[in-house]
Amino acid sequence: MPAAPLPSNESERLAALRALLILDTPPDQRLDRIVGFAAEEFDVPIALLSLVDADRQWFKARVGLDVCETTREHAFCAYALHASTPLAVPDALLDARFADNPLVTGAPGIRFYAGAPLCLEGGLVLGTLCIIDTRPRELDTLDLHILEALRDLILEEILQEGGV
Amino acid sequence: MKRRHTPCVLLADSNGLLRQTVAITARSAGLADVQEVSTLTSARQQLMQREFDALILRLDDQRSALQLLEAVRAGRTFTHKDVGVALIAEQCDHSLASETFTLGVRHLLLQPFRVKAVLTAMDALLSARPQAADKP
Repeated sequence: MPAAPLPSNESERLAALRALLILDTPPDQRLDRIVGFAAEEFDVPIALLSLVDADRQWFKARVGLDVCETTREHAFCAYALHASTPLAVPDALLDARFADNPLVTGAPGIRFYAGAPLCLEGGLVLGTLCIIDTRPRELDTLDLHILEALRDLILEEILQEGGV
Repeated sequence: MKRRHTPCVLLADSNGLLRQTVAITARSAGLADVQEVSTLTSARQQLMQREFDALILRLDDQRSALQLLEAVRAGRTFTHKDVGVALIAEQCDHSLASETFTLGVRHLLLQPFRVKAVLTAMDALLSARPQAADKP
């Protein structure tokens, strides 16, 4: 399994993430609500607000996962840090980047992933709002717009809380 | 879904997260500008001030919502009396179905529904406007 390449602005990205003082903080009701709304809207078992730290992805809000973080090495979201548009993986088993990922071959058995990057001005991506399914899925253009709209609401909330 | 000129839709719903998601998505998809309000009172104020290309109203207070729609159909607002309307409701009985049909409601969205259903209804309402294709 190829590791996701580091973004060229990785050090600035990590500095921006840490400046928000959001990592390892308690759950936020409004963020939980938006992530729950995303899970319902797309009818997926897992939805996450994932923040990609140096060696891990930490979930500020989550539906359908018991763990609060995973290693960055196995994080789909690490691949979404390179663009401002969503990363969609219709079937992870058919994608060389993810086919032998332990999160695909083992629990929770990811097959479908779509992550909208939490992109700050200047192109620094903090993480994603992502939806995950255990069966292959396709999103149409309108679905992607809806995912991005929910991402925008999350970003607005995070920046407001962080006083940015 | 994109149109040459952006129409404006009035969305009245007490669910702020639904409203904001619909509004942001409609704008980014080039479907419409959405004026979102949380109450029928605010919706009435908006309708008295400007014209809308479609209306989407929640029937939390069924009587007030239908009275507002009657005012629209009677031409007592700034919006064209034949404007396309979708209603959002918890449930629908025969009486409501009959009343909304009489008032020319084209879409009834029953809970639970998705944001995508609201946007699809909005697109259908806007596409059905007689002037939609001809507007310069």
